[in-house]
Amino acid sequence: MIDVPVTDRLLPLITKADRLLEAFERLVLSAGILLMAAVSIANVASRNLLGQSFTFVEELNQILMVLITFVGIGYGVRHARHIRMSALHDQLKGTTRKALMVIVSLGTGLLLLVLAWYAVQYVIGVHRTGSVTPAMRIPLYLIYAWVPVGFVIGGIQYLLAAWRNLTTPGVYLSFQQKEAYEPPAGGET
Amino acid sequence: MVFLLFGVMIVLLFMGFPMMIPLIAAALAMMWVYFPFTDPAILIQQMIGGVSPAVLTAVPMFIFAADIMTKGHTADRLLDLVMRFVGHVRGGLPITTALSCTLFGAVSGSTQATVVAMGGPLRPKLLEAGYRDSFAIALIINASDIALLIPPSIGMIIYGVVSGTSVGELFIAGIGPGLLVLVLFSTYAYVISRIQKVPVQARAGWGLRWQAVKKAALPLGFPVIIIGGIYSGIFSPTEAAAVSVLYALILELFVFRAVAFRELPSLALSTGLITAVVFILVAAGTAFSWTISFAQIPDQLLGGLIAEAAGNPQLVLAVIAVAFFVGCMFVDPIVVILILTPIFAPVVDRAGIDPVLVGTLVTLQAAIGSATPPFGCDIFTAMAIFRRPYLEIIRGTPPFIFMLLIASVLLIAFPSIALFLRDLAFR
Amino acid sequence: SGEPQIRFALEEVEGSVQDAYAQRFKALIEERSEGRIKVNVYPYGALGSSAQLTEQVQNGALQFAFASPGHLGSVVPEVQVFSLHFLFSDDEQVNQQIFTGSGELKRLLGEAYRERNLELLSIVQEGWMVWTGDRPLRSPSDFEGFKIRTMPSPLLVEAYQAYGANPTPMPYSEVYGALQLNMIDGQVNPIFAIEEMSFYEVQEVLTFANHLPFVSTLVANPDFLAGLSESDRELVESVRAELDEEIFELQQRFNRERLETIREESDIQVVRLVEEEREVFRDAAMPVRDSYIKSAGERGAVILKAVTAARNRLEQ
Ligand code: NA
Ligand code: NA
Repeated sequence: MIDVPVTDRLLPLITKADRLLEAFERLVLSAGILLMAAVSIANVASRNLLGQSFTFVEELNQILMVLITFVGIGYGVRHARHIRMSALHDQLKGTTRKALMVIVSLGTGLLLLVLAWYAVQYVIGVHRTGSVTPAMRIPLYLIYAWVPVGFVIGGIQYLLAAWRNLTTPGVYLSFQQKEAYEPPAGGET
Repeated sequence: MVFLLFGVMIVLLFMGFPMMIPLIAAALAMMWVYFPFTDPAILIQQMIGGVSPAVLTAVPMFIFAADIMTKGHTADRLLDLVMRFVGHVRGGLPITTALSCTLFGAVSGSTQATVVAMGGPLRPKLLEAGYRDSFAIALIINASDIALLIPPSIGMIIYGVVSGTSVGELFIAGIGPGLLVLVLFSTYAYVISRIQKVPVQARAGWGLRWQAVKKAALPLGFPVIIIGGIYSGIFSPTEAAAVSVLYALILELFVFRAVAFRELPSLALSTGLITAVVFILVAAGTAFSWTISFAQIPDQLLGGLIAEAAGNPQLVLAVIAVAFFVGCMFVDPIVVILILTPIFAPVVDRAGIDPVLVGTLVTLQAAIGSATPPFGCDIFTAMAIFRRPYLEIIRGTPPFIFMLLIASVLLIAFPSIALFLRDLAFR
Repeated sequence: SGEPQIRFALEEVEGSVQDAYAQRFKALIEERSEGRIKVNVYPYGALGSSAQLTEQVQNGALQFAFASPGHLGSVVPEVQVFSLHFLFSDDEQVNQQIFTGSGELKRLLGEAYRERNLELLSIVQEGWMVWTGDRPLRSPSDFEGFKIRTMPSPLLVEAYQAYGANPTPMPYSEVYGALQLNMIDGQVNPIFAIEEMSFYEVQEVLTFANHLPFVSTLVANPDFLAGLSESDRELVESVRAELDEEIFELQQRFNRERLETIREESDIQVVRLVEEEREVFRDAAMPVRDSYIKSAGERGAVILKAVTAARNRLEQ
């Protein structure tokens, strides 16, 4: 799937680290959805059959949604699935197209890192207030700590994509994914 | 302020930045320039808060159920059923397409899942029967819009969360407009098949029909569960989502045996990816929308309309429809809902319009927007699965957009199209 | 940076008690500062959920906001004292003295708020929490298997469980439909909310147990207050003190009028519990106070004692 240029000694190392990170992201997304389905189904069954609702279910689902959203940023970049309006991009050819791709990847990567910085500030603030979730009493900062992590993973992915585009011929939608002739742009809702 | 906010957003949007970036960058620019003493970390709070409402759990759950069924046999069986009953009438195939999309829409909460599930098998059939490709593709992506109106609907869930409107009531109110669009499209299909002189298909015998009914009986349990469950108060929309996952699992894992247990993690991964991509937009849209409120921009933009609103609900509805229609041309409908709903909230309130009616109208615009150029998620999905270039995909859309606009006008003129069923159930 | 500006966010929509408070506050401050201090009021929904508003006050984006105990309990556990059934008097006047007087409650809570970077300005009553249902709720046995929608605050949930009910969490916007479709049997809210959300259309009985006054607290960002000039600080303080009285009377009138509207528009039955009936509930809910102390710690125990003492003294 990827053609790794042997000339670059850094690349295999980065690729390996990248694969590990990808495995982690897959785990969060996949297990997150399965767990959400399991507890939600159990809760409906319990409410209708036993007349008993679990108050922690809502909380657990909210935690999972935060995890899926923010840890999922990186996985979305990896598979070039983030929703964007590519009408202009699609009209461009050759170097201009590549240049725009580099600007977009670089800009997005940097902005995500800025967001990561603010997210760290925010998490520190939440830590200071000592807020916990109402039912399970889990400290909120432990959950929110994944937000800056997600931004950093996503930011690095975009920077890697920019780097790929600068060092390798062809237009890359992400670090690993080269643009097909007819780009399957956009994502799903 | 308005200039900076929307200027930054539009420039970055057209440059092709991932849609979360124009939103966040514009919000950050506002904070830096106009509120230098306010900590921008508040935007992070809003992003997290945006994806935290418990009702939103329904979004990944409905997507998961649809993913399981797209992988399994449900879509085929529904399609087969419709085909055997209406395939032989004039315009039978396109009518089948519209009706199948409506039926699958009762299973799926998103238009794209419907494009994938129904477009794949139907386009070759339409071409084989002699319909033009531009018509076939436009029909598929626009008929898939109906999925957003027929419950479940991701657009309605998001609107319900943002506006504080009952998702259960929105779901029920979407059925009327969904069926209206189905009727309009079917009429158009009939006319086209007359004009293009497409030969009619053979009529299926009652034996085959009975077989199709038996095969589709279990998948048809879905609308019964979702609509019936909400209608009768057995469960909330969020619970209906969990139940639909359970039902999909029972059907495809145990009854049809079309999906194996070991496939579940990869199906969940694909659901998780779609969820993440949608929810990061919800997060960014929420932060953007907070900035708009914080800077009190709605008053600046809509002061005049607020004054006019009280005596003229139809004007307000028309303005809302146009604003959402234009927004959805360029930006993902979810983002448009997140941004415009709070802006229009005071106007809706002042005009005394039922928020459920507004939600239905907004969802109709979101559905239209999914298939209107330049940005339309259904267009991109169709490009990916049909492997056709952009311009070929959108060539046949104008008549459909025209019909959808007629549907919008009818809905504004006759709100009971949406509210009749809602009142029957909830009032 | 120039003249002070007060961004003031509400947990309730326009036309509510909180909105009335904020509009009066704005009018008085702007008038008495001769327009120098500007007050911008943000109704509910504009800037996020209640919990988010509190955070925005802590972080300085907002200067003033209402923060009600339902959500604040996960930040300031001590404030869950306002979730304890039958702890306060069934006389609103008595409670008003407990909340606003120079008593211990406000001082002790104020300490707890300050530790979380919030300044507690006022404790504002908004009327009694009232049970609505498909039946009168005169004793815990009426609650047997009763599905009630309440805020997901743990101590409230525990109290209803102690009565034998099944507390069911549910978004506010879904409550009307859920009552209509009998998905739940009842819910609990102050009268003005019951009128505004039309819950009375789909319920048979209003039960006034006077088990809990619905309370919100007015909070401010401490750095903002500290940064005000002495005279501006005094101005804010005098307006606040003035509004304590004014809003108490206004909320009584609000709730009286809304109850009249409800009775005009429906033939809903109104039940008021007598002291003997309240006593049975009070006993059943007693163990929740231990949970409160467990969650709010030593200061919680002191608050509990102070409230009980003040109540006994004032009710004499
Ligand atoms: Na649907
Ligand atoms: Na569009």
